[in-house]
Amino acid sequence: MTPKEKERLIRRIWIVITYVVLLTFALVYLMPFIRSLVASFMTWAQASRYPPEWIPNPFTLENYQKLFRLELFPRWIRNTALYAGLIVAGNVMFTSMAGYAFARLKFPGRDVIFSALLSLLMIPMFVTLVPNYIIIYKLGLIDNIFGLALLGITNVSSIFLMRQYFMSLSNEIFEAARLDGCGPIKAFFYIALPLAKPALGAVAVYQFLGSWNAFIGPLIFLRSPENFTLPVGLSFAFQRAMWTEYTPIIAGSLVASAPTIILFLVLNKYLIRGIVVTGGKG
Amino acid sequence: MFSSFSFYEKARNKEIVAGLSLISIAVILNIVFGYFAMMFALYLSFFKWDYIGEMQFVGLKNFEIVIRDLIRGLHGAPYLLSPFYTGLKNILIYTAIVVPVQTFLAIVLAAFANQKIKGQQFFKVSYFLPATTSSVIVALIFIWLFMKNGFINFALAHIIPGFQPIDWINSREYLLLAIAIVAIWGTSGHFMVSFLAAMQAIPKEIYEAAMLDGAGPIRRFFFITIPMLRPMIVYVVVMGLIGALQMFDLAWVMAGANGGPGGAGYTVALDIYNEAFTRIRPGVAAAKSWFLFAIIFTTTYLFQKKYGRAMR
Amino acid sequence: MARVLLKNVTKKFGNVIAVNKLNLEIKDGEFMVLLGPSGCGKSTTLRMIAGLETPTEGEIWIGEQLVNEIDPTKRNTAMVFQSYALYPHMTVFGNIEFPLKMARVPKQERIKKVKEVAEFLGISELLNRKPSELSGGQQQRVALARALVREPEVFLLDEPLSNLDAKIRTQMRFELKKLLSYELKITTIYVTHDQVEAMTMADRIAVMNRGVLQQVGTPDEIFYKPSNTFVATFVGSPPMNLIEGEILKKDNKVIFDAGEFSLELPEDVGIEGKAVLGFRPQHVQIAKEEKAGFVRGKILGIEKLGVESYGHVTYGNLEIVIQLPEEVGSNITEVYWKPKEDRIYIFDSKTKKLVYG
Ligand SMILES: Nc1ncnc2c1ncn2[C@@H]1O[C@H](COP(=O)(O)OP(=O)(O)OP(=O)(O)O)[C@@H](O)[C@H]1O
Ligand SMILES: [Mg+2]
Repeated sequence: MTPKEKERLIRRIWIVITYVVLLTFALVYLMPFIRSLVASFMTWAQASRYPPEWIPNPFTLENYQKLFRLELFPRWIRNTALYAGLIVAGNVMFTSMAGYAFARLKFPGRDVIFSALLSLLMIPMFVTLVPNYIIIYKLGLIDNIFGLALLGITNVSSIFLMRQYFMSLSNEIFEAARLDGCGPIKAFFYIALPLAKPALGAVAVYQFLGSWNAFIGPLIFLRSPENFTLPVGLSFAFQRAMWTEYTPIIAGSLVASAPTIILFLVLNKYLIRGIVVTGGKG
Repeated sequence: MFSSFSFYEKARNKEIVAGLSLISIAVILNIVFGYFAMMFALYLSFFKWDYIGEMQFVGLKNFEIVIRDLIRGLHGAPYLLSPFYTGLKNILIYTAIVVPVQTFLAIVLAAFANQKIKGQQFFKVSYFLPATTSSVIVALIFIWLFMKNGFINFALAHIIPGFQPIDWINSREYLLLAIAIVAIWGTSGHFMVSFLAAMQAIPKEIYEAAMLDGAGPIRRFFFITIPMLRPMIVYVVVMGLIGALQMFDLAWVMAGANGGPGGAGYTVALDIYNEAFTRIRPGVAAAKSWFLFAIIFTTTYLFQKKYGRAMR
Repeated sequence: MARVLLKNVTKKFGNVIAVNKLNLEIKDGEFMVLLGPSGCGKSTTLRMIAGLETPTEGEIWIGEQLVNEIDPTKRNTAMVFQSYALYPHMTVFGNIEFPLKMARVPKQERIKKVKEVAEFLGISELLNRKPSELSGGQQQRVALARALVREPEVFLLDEPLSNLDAKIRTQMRFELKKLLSYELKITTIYVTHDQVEAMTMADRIAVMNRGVLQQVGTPDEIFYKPSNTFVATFVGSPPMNLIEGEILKKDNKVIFDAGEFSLELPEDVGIEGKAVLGFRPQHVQIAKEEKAGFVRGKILGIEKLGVESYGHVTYGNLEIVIQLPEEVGSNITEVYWKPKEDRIYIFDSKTKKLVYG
């Protein structure tokens, strides 16, 4: 073998190894979803068989039907959607306002207030959990989706993201608007907000993912099963052994994660880029 | 000459009013649920209370309860007598497994993916998918996969010769490991994508120069990629530490609020929850949360002090 | 139409004095160019006139009105920015309409005015496009339209051509001048650091340096009567050569003695002793052989700019630039040169002010 042939061979082997590793791990990451999807159409007897089977036989929708026969389940979907909707709407509205003010307007204490907000990111949520429970309790908003949402509608990360975005816009546009007769508020509605669509989209998507998947907050601030969100409801259903089989839980898990998975699949290019840029969901 | 109401002053005042009103809601809510809550937590930690009756000042008693718990635990008291110690021990073991493994795995996978290969987006999407799913949902699915006659035992039996099926969820020895595996599965892919982006941001010229200097792919990885990734590694480790030390969701579902068999899956976060909402001792819960804060702060601070500040 | 008057205008940013005691009058309908190097305070001056910055001291008059306390939108000025600052989310129509909308002009009138302006600037076909779908030159015209639609009395432009490539720039230079000076006859203040733009467009040029006004005058005055060494070297390309020396009076003759050579001045320049001699590279006599009164210089390099070529020539420890005749080849190593006596300038060596020329 000439050195050149040898080099080519090594490269080939290396490429094969790369694909084997990457595909193996892709399988590791995807397998639970695939297994669940298949099993959600099986009877529990078949889904729990050893060795595992892959083709639902008999094919059954019984698991999904069981889910929706439980009156609570559709309520949980509605609650989760309401909670996510409130969080997304609140963040889009309030953090774009705050981000714009911090980035574009001059007022006394601006930078101090902003750093004070940023420092809150360092505080673990468990420190403020009990006091916030008491505050919400005193407000009479325990077991109320609106009370729960109150805690999350002005997320500091969203404010930070919006501020960064508004700072990146050109000064001249805002000066031109000033000369065209826009005061600070008009400039927000006519110029800043329409230009911020990408950032608003990012905030909306992250907040949607976060609130749809949220657990600790809903667990603590919602008390009665009919007010639960999907994650809390499903873990409740599991712990109370609402079904003797496990397959409805699997089906419920799939239903609960479908919106976020579909959203991710549709937006994967933007989301992956954005999440990398802003440093992740946690 | 300049009247006290010149247009500049008017414009400035208008801007101040606009600025303060625009931030008002965000600032008020964050002050109430952030700063006020924090001070309230500090206040609470010196009181005995049951949410309803009078608050009773007890000095440092609540902190003493935590310390006694730790001391008892160190002397080998059973888990029910030293819940905080048990949670802390578990969470430290758990962190020591999860953070290094997920970081390492993420780097290695990113290095493999960072080549001229087809289907990169497919790999990114499939690796990232777990991160878009609620940890509770993930845990529920994994409980089933971890069952004694479940898929994971089946897969392992095929890979490791002579492997005996384990009852992961109901076993004292394996429960924490099972939770750790789920956590690694859930976050490593997401960090891999972060690393991949950081790797792709390294200028190609540096690699080309190294190639001309005769460095092979392995040496290029260790002498260029790793040092250039350092800020990202620090960031991933710090985020990993913060997440792992507060772990709650997975344990709640997979081990239950009481930590499963022998408290094998008990965590500090579960313990804070239990103090506040089952044992009804908000003061002790607050004291414990300060301990948790101190632990998170110290570990992330020490790590960043040693390896440089986290950068995105 | 209106004149603009700046009285003792000063602007400080903390310790930085961006504009220092500026006095300047821009006459009604005049095209005034503010010229100067980067950071000299041109933009700051313009922005104070527009109302985007407050003067620290001094008065700004537009027409018969002191505008220091008047809101930018009520000053009857319009500004065109370097980046054009078009609103990317609005169509061309929306951009031009925006100032009218903010001024609460009724819809029908707005449409009429926008159409008129668009017609006038030849951008009627572009009204439904977004700014990102336009070329640089078209964006420029939209920016002009947005400024014009307010029917301003004073037009302010901050380096409006610097984002265009060289070819369109020359064309737009002419168009802008035609539009503003000949068709609209509007008072215009135009900021640039490009002397060619200044020389070709201005009725008068105001040269600034480090926040201080150096000279105001017609392009000819600025070029032929630079008031000090800064203006002399800033305007003209390549820059004027400056040589230090002494002025002596001998036998009724006035002589500039530079050490290496001496030059008889055509008349008394009014000072004696140390002085600075200035002459443009184009105003030099050249000889290929040694000649009385000529200075020998080694050629360090030759820059050929088409027809003209300039030689960098040693002069003692210094280097000067002179224009070489067309016929000189690129292989000569030495020339003999001498400034043309009737085209020289003498500057005071301390104040750097022009004393003769
Ligand atoms: N907002 C500001 N804050 C602090 N200093 C400023 C500010 N604006 C301008 N300056 C300073 O004032 C001086 C003049 O700036 P100006 O923008 O007027 O210069 P310029 O002549 O327009 O330069 P250029 O040709 O680069 O645009 C500079 O030293 C600049 O750094
Ligand atoms: Mg400027």
